[in-house]
Amino acid sequence: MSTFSRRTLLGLGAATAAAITIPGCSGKSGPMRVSWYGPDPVTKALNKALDAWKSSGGAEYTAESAPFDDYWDKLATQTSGNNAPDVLRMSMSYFSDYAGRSALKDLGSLGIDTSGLDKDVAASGVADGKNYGIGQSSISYSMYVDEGAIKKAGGTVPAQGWTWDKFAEFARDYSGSVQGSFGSSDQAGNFQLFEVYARQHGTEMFSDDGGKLLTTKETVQEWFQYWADLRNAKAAPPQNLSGETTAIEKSLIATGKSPLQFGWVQQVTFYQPLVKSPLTVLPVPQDKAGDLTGQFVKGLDLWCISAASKHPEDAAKLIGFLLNDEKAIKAIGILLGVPPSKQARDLVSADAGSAGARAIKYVEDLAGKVGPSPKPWPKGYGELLTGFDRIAENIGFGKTTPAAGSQEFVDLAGKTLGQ
Amino acid sequence: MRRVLAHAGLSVGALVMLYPLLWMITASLRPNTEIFSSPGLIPEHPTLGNYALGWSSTGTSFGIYIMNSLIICAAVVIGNVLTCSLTAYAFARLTFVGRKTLFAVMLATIMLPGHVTLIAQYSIFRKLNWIDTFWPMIVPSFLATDAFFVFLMVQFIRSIPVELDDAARIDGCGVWGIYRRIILPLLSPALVTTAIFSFIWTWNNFFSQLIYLSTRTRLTVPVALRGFLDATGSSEWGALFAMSVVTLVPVVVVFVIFQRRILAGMAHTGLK
Repeated sequence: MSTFSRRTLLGLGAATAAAITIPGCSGKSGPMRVSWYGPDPVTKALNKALDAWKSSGGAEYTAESAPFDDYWDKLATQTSGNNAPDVLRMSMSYFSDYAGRSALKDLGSLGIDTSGLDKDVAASGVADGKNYGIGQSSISYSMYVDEGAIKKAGGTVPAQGWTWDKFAEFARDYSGSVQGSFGSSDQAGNFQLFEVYARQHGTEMFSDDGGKLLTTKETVQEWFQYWADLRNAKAAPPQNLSGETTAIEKSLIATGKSPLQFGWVQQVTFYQPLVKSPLTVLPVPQDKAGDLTGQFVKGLDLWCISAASKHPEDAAKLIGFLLNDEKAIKAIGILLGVPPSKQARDLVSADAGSAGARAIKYVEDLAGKVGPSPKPWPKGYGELLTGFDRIAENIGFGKTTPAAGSQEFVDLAGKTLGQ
Repeated sequence: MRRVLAHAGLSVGALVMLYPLLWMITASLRPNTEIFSSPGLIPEHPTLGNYALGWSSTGTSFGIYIMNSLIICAAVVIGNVLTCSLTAYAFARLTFVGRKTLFAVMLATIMLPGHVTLIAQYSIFRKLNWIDTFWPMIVPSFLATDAFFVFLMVQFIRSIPVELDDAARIDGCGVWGIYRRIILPLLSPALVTTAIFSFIWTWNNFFSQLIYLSTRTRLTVPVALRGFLDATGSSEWGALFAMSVVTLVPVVVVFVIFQRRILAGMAHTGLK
């Protein structure tokens, strides 16, 4: 059954309200509002960057922030109430929902300087030929490896890459040689890692117009089966343990029960303080060892301006400032992800031994080896993201099989996409 | 012997119920890295650092959030007690056109999920320029919008003998006089119940405070607490638990002060 979540409801409301908004009918127009999601360090860093904006003579602003999950409830309400913030942080997971409902402004004519940005990132927010957002970071999926633990267990992880089969072999060996540990955490429900796997199987995950799932049911089933086999071999933890270890602090790699973790490259900086030995950042396993075309580099968080903004010029200037100004770049560091321009990466990578520097190096090394970056994730992506995880969980608990689960996902995609 | 067994059983039950609370309190005394890695209740390296960190780590003192929450709670308690009792008095004792229909409409609002009305409400408050102020939380409570409390008090007033009203009327009381001299004093258990639940529910009400408040210095306790957690980054569990313990204090204080009155209130509600 498809679930009709609170967020869907709010989203639909947002669409309706956007459709019936009467232009020119609005409340007071106070100073420009800037809004973002993220944990406390992100908020502190952005406040520092905004201080720099103010002291360099930038326009008045007020700042708002919320944790990721709550941010979307609030933004949906604000948008449908015709009161969206002027500058807002947008995640690729919800980008098409907002862009497709005309809640975001076309930035094309606002003259934001993106000349220094990586090309894929500058174009991350292009939908239907219009640029609705500018990437804040260059990120890619990755694998963090606790080499100290692996060396102790007598194993190795080849830096030049390995296949999924070799990865499974490693996971089984590791679990066998270290009592009470697992070669890998269970990634069956990780839709974003699955996108890499799907691209390794020949197609993009979604059609260019975002209306269809191109990945076949067979690939989905193969993926679910792959992790089911690892669970059966005790190379990956059972589902009940996975359910308890989702928070970073509780993750298997943080508690020393697994030498590997997957995630977006910049998240290594959240894991590193919890792991004693340095974490190496490597590409995720491949279909053909060393062939990284399944992966991509993209800006998955964007700066956007709301369609209803009363201060589009100031908002555009502020976005340009956050992307290009030296003080802003230094204040933000890699908290929003690996910086999206060469200039910024050089400015923040000073601390060579840090996890952040390794994340930056990873992204730079990937350049030229990864595949073309996919179109913005389609409308309804958020539903698929949670649906995929839910189905994987049901398989993990034995409530359904990989075959039935993959069919369920394909059906869900058929219903959700292209609406 | 039977009593010993009963006590043992009850103690075990109580311990099970209390364990999460105890765990939270001891977790607030542990360094961040120890919270999930070591089992048991006794912290290995007890520290008060989480309290200092949580109190100031958001860049705004946690005291400001508590003060904001207290202001909103106090206003809501006053609003609910005053206006819900007036409304309930009207429904229970006065005859006016459309009374039954209006009562049904009011009950229907209890059944309406909050999310249905959220966007319409937001639009209204935006037109009033009340976004990012306390008014959206406070003003509705002065309009007796919390139908649950109105319903509670209507039922209560119906159990008060009408003969008392009649006697007061003979002594020269009008509609207001009966409300003030007869109904209100007899209603006090229900008023206390309303006050306490208004306080606790408002204290814990996360969603509307998240939606309507934005400026850091105007945030309230539940919103600030959520700020310690973020799925996309590292969460400050220690600070979260420490501030959660702090947050419990006002609720416990309110409970301790009013506890006897709650129980009296409950007992009275049950009497006919």
